[in-house]
Amino acid sequence: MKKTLFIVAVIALIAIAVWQLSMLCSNKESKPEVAEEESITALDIIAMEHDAISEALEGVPLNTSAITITDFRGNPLSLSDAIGAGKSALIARFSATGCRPCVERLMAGLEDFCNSHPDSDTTVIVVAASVYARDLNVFEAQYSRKMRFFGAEEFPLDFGEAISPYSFFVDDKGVISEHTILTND
Amino acid sequence: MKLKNINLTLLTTALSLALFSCGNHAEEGGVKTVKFDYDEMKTLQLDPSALVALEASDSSLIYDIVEAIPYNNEYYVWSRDLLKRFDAQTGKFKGTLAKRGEGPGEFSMINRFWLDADTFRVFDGNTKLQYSYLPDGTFCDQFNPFPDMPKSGATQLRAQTFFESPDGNGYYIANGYVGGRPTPSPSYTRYPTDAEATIVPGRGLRSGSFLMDRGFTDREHNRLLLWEGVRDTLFVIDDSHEVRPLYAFDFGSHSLPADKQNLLHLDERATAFAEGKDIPYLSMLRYFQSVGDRIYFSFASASPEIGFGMFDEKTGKTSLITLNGENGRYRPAGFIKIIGDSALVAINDKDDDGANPALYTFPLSAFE
Repeated sequence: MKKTLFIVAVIALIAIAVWQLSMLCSNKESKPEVAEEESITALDIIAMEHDAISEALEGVPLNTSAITITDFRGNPLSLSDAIGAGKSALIARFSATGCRPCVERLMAGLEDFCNSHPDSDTTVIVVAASVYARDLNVFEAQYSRKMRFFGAEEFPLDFGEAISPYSFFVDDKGVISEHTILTND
Repeated sequence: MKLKNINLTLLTTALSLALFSCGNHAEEGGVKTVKFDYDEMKTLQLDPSALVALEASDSSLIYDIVEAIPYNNEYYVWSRDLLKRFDAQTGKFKGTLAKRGEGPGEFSMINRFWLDADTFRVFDGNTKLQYSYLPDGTFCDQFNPFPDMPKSGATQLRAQTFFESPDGNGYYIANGYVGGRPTPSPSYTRYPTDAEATIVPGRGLRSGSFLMDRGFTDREHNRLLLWEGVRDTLFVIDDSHEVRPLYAFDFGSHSLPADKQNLLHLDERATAFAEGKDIPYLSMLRYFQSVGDRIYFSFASASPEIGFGMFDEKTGKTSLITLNGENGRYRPAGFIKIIGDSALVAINDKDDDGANPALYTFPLSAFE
């Protein structure tokens, strides 16, 4: 009897060990592959050419829960809350004091995306700097509430003195892709 | 073009002299310093029941008011790239006069909006076209009013906006910045109807701006008054067909220091202005108008607070006022337009972030 109990106990321990190992592997798989040291700071970005910036950001994770933005009433929320749990997002960034033609091209691109992906689960978010809070509501109305507008004076990927407009996708894990910088060319 | 890339060019010496002048209404090199006493600013109690709250729905939401034209018991409101109509008594939304787009009668941006007899007109500083609409929004026509803009050196000048010449002979054009050159672009072009267009000497742009130059054609005094952002100087073009500084508005210890006003880029000046929250700094906004002997304008302070000023050119009297309703709930938003003996102003409701600005009228006697 004792021998049987011992064998069951050993099997149970092995099963637990296997389960823990499998969980560990599972966790590892769900975690972004890019290590923290591969993240890019705004200071790194400033020194790069536009194409190099976008290439370097491909596959880099963005901690969306650590980024605070505000709605048109001035209420703060995290970027991850704005995106929604388990959802991907197309995120655009500009400053009202930035290059106006670039912003216009950026917004035209977002509109095209919204119109060509009417049933997409991808949340389209614009994070604007140097705008009045209530203007965010007018922006949303102007774009038929197809995209959501928020305010933030600082954003981790900003570069350029007046914030060069840019956009990028993040997947449901916050990993960046298709980073694009709008220029006046 | 970037906002930060705005103009400052010449006359820094003259401007500095003007800003540092000590006497009230002092004159230095043709530039008069006009002193305003912020500590003596009066607060006018606003009557909330007299507000014309502009209806706020998704189709009628507007940004700040740039222009409001009363016509046929309606307000025709220009707000950035929006043109909306509201009932002048109730604020009820009556429709969109015209909109941005690429179809017939659609503009890409609005650099000027005005009423010409019974026709509303828009100048698009991007396409350089002037569009005309009947009051019900019916599109009439479009054309390029300035097909023969002169060159500055090898560079073709481009109209950003324009103002009627005070003598009735054509227009003065505020040029867009063409950039990238060590020599400044001329700020203004004279475009008479009976002669070739010529560059207006006296002021040039070294960098561009999104903030449109603002001008006021003052036929009574045969002059065009001009403004530049975060510089408390009114410039003038008169019979000499040159642009020169006319008045330097001095808010005393609340004036943005001259070296900050002389910064090249608008955003640098705006940043310096915002940094003076504790002082606070005051600066003229783009809304100003000459009526009789008086010049009326709005100003912003970094406190933040917006108010209105008056300068009597004949007597030298100056006055500052602000409005307050329900303990700070209703405050001015910047826009002011003098109509007869009254001022039409925009008012924000602090307690309703989703509301449109309201319009409000008060008598000019409030400046006494």
